[in-house]
Amino acid sequence: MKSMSEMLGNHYFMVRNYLQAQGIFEDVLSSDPSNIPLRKKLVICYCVTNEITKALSVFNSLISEDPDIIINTDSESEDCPCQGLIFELEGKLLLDQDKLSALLALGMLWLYCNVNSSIEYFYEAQKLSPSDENITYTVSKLRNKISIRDLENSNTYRSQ
Amino acid sequence: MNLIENNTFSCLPHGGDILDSMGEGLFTVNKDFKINFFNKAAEQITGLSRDEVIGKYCKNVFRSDFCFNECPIARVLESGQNIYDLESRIQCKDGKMVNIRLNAAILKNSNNEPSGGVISFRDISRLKKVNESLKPNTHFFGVVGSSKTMQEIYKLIEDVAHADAPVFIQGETGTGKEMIANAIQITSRRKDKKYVKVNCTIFPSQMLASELFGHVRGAFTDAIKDRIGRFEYADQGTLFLDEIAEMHLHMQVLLLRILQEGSFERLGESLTRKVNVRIIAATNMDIKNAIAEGKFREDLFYRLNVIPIKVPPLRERIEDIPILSSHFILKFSRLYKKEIKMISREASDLLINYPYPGNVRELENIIEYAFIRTKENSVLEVDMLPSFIYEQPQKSKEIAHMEIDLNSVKFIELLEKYNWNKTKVARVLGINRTTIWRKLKALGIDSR
Repeated sequence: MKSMSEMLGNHYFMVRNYLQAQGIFEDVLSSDPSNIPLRKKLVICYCVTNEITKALSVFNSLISEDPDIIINTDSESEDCPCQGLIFELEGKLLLDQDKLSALLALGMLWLYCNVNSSIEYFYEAQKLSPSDENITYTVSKLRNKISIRDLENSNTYRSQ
Repeated sequence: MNLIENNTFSCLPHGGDILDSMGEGLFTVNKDFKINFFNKAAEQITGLSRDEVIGKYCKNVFRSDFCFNECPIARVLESGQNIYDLESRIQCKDGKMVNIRLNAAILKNSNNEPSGGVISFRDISRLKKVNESLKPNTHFFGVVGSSKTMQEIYKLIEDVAHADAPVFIQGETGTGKEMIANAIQITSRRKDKKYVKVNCTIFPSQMLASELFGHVRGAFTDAIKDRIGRFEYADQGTLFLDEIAEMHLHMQVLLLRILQEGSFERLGESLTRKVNVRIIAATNMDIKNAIAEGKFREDLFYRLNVIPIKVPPLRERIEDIPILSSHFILKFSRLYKKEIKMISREASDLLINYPYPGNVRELENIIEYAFIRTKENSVLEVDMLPSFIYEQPQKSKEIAHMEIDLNSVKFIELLEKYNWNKTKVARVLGINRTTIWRKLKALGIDSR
């Protein structure tokens, strides 16, 4: 029987076996729900395995704590596969019948790389499903983040 | 291993120094699989400096195929069993791939949860060349030993060289079963065909089935493409199944079928395939006990045991110890490019009288340890041997029943009997060698 350890989950994630990693991360998080690195990886796993509702739930729990948890991802030191996944997903987007899921996945994955691109995808998702409270929450949180950042940047500029 | 998380070896006094003095490469990873320790030997084998690898993912450093398909640390996590002597390849700094043999284990934190992994490895490409160069000096196709029991084994192998019948090799761990298997293969009619080795303890049950019989895409979760198994790969050749008694019972059924009919199916496939493979099996378990306990199928045993070979433990062929010691001295002199003059008589005596629970492999480790510690062109002395060899001397049966007064004439007679070999006398008396030295000094006797 496999040891349901975080370390084994990390291995599966590292070799891009997202389905196996997902199962282990879910198990570990059931007893350690505050584990941020695992939650970040679980979002990615859910996006790949097309469990978008679960992905968004974990994603929103992270950005509700602090969007920088995801925004400040160091793709090299955290072995983040998002760039490659985004490339594949954007290629499929035009063909994908479930556009909402694809847009949400891209919105989540882009936040690991670029907040502006992320929010663009969430805007598109919001257009398709304007009454979805989870999407509305996400958009508002990210818009707020961008506004604060723009304000900080402009203050910095003025002080220089 | 239970070591403090994130503080792996600093809890040991001179921990880093000890590991840097090892001849084997060693590195550790944390639970994210980032390298957090890399010893000197690892630097030498890979050409990579510590600074270049610390903090990096091991898969990005070594770039081995094994990283993705058969990571040894992941295997240990899955099976719960450490891995020994697994052959693999890693990429060095110059881009060359190097053949290595590795051991893998998991590090655990104070809560007994996996917190990292450790791999020790050695470059076997040089080792393979050295072993090849040593073959002319061995007694039988790589096997060393001239004792009567070993001669009988060589004769048996020669007698059955023309046959393709299965061979079942039994012997304690470290007795050289794989060497015997190699000798059987190389003297057989199939010597020019494929020779594949599988250690049945390395793989969890389902993976062993996939490893031996192959699988088709989709057969199970990780089966992302078709894969040929070792039986197919070894078709017309020889397959060595080491630690066969560790095989799960349902696997034994599949193995029995292939022995009886030569047919099998890849996992997830209904197409029956045929192969012609000669099986050599080995175990260190008491197979009769395993059968009695229901752990090993009796019908499989009889299928495999057509040519039985029992390799004796080293303690039952002590006359081979000096030859083996010399063989290993020669091996390490070529491997480490260092010459030593000889083994001292006292050291030889100790080596002969040690019981070797780990058999030939343990002797090799002891010789290697002592060889590394001995200076170039010096004599390998007692002090260079691992302390466990001489720290607990055993009383001989000869005088186990009596205590000798160190002031008595009998003590001097004993010394004369053993040619003033203080080590031997100490062992016989069950006391420390330095006690004898001090006593002789106190008596004003010059024992040189």
